[in-house]
Amino acid sequence: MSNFVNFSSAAAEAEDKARDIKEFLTSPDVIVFPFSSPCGRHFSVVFIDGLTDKDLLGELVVKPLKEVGTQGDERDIALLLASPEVKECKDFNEAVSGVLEGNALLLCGGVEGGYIIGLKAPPGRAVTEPPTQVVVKGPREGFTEDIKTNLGLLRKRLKSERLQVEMVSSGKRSDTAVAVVYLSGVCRGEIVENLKREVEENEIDIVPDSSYISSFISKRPRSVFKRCGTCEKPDILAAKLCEGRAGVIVDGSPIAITVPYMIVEDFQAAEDYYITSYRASIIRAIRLVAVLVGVLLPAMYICAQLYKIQLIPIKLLFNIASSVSSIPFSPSVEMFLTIMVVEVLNEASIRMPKYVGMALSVVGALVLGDTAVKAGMISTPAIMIVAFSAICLYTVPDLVETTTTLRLLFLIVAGSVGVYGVVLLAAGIFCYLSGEQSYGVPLLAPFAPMNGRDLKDALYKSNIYSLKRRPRSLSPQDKVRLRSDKK
Amino acid sequence: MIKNELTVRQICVIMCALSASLKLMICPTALAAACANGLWLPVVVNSALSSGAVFVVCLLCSRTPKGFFALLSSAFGKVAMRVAAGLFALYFVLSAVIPMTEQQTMVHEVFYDTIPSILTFLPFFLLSLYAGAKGLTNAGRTAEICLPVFAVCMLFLVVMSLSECDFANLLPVFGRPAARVMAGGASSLFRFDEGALMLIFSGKFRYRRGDAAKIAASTAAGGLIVAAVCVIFYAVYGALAPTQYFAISKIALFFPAINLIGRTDIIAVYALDMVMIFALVLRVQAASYCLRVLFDKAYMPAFSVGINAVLLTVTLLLNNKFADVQRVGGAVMCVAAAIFSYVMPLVAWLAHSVGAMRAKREGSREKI
Repeated sequence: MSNFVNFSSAAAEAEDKARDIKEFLTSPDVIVFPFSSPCGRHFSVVFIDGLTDKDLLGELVVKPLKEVGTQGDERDIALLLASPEVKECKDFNEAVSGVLEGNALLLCGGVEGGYIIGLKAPPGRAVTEPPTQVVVKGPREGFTEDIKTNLGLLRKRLKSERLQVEMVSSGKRSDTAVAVVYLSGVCRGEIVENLKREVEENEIDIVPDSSYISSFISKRPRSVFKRCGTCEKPDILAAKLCEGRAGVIVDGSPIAITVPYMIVEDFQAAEDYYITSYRASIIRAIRLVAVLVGVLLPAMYICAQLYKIQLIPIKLLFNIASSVSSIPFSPSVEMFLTIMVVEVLNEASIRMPKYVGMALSVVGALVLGDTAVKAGMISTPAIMIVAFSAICLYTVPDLVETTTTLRLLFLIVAGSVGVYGVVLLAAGIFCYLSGEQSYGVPLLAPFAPMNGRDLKDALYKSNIYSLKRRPRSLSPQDKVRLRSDKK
Repeated sequence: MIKNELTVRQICVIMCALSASLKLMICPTALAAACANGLWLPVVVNSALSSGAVFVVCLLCSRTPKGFFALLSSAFGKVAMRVAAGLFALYFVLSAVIPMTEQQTMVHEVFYDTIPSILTFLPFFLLSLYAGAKGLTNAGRTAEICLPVFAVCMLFLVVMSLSECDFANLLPVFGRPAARVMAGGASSLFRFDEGALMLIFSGKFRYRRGDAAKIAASTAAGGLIVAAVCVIFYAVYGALAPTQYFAISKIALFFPAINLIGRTDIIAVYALDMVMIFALVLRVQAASYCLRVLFDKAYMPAFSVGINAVLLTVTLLLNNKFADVQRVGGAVMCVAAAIFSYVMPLVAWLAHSVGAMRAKREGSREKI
């Protein structure tokens, strides 16, 4: 880029500088708009069509310069601009980055470099309720793909001088903006340092979503179990930051990442904090049981059929026996096929357009299911068990990726080794998880290592007046969350 | 400086839940055969002895932050420490053999309607291999996960079995001859070796005032749970108890609702088996730790591989020799447990005294 000497020269005219930029950014959507002031001074504005707000450009930049003539130095030009976000730019690379980000670049003769004016207006959707974290009671705002909007939504909830936003970038070619957010004096410093280092260290072409960042910052990215929490709502992120976690907001992704992560987080829904503690505790217990049932039920059904018939009550046993008598597959194969059908239907219903999705539900659930049973390919209990298992797993949607994988694993072990294999696998998973950490916090905290005080918001949801301290497992700097005499 | 690998709570859970779970497989049946309706008395006596041994070790922990092997090293030299570490490693490997054969037989009998091949038990060694390569921190954490599982399952099984209990079977309470009770106690002494485990845990946790009482009380509580299961077992089966193997899977068998809901009690037994597995693996982890001390190395997978290779060989050799293992192994392990669980704590105290005297002597020499 050393050839583009005009840009940095104070002697060069605006047109020459714009030509330099245009020679480098040859794409037709990079627009150069030249204009002059009444006193005859020439200006050029470079921007990307579709990314920059043209109305504001006209109102805040072009209009003031056209109305008032100036021959003064660069300070005068900056003062005339009505935009609140004006930055001097003398480096060619910086100017190009500014334009590519969607800002306008103002160039004029007699001035070294130009001005980057913050007029970004990338196309984006409005703030809506996220589909994965729907609540009946409580805030409904969700993050969007725009990092500024997301930071604004967070600031709206945390009007604290302690809320720190540290901008880093990731992606060699995408140069994606990544914001590391935390509350200073609450979140441990080493978490933020490690987080920033791990985000910056990775050299990848493009970071299209925050899931890439979560892979970068995980110590074991190949593990079935995730190491970062995710949330799509600013109220949840704000609450997590207040507990002593750090957050990562990635431009282009509506999902924020939080660390340190504990598995128990996924069992805590936002609504738990907006309803009575009794109801919340019951729902949490149901979620836990549902996940256990969802993962283990198909495997236990196979074990009962193949190895331990006594597990099934005698009347039900007769019904099952009559259902499976004509099935040509072994119980394991039958269950595996049924799960595959459900997974395929699930995948197709997500990807297909909505109007086809409705038809697919009818075809999948009614025609395929009913016909398969009538044709003697799959038994009714198998369909029922897989369907119930799928429903159970979706009670904790953030863990679905993990639980569906585990369900398959348990199924294979149950079919090959039997109940003892299932018990051993469960023990193995617990043994593995006991040794795993996320940013120094054990994944199974506050159960292992047990922390009695943190159990108030884990195993059950205690009243808000009982949660006076931040989770000890996270080792926050400021430990007190609530000062009140109420008990 | 103490590297806090364990917390006092974790040790309490190990002493209470994990240790108790291993005694729920064959112990009630064996004691019913030896002492009939007095089967709970040897459990109480042995638990008291075991709690005492644990208390003695805990008292030592209150005096010094050093672990057992460090005490031996400072008092009798590194060679003595290494010999002791080797012997303890051997002891923990051997002490795993009987519960492992019991586990194998229980798996074959309770987990499967048919008699499966030995291959079904072999995946245990995969878990044992993996867990054995992990440190005592992992053992402590897994124990904490086991606590709610143990508590819920035990409660579930006890509640289901209470309706069929006839406590008159236990009368007269002290009707059994003391000699038979003593014999029963002696034959089951090897199951109450918490003292040896506590020696391994010494120096691995930060002792605070009152911890000795807590840990000893947890050990006693574990013993009382076993005694309670023995009482319920005999109350349900009476004179038939000696023929009923794996008491824990049998006590809730006659719960009236089982006809309607299936053998749900077995699900609790399955969950309880996970606790038993961790209790068994704890022996491998302890042996692995001893080998680490012996060779003065960090945790190495090779230690776990070696220990599990030995256990696997023993399992293959002793397949279908359950009665012989119980008879011969029990007799040998009773002596071994007496030495490692009850004599060694006293040796630890001796080492502490010798070490303290030596330090004092060296201190006064330096002053001169």
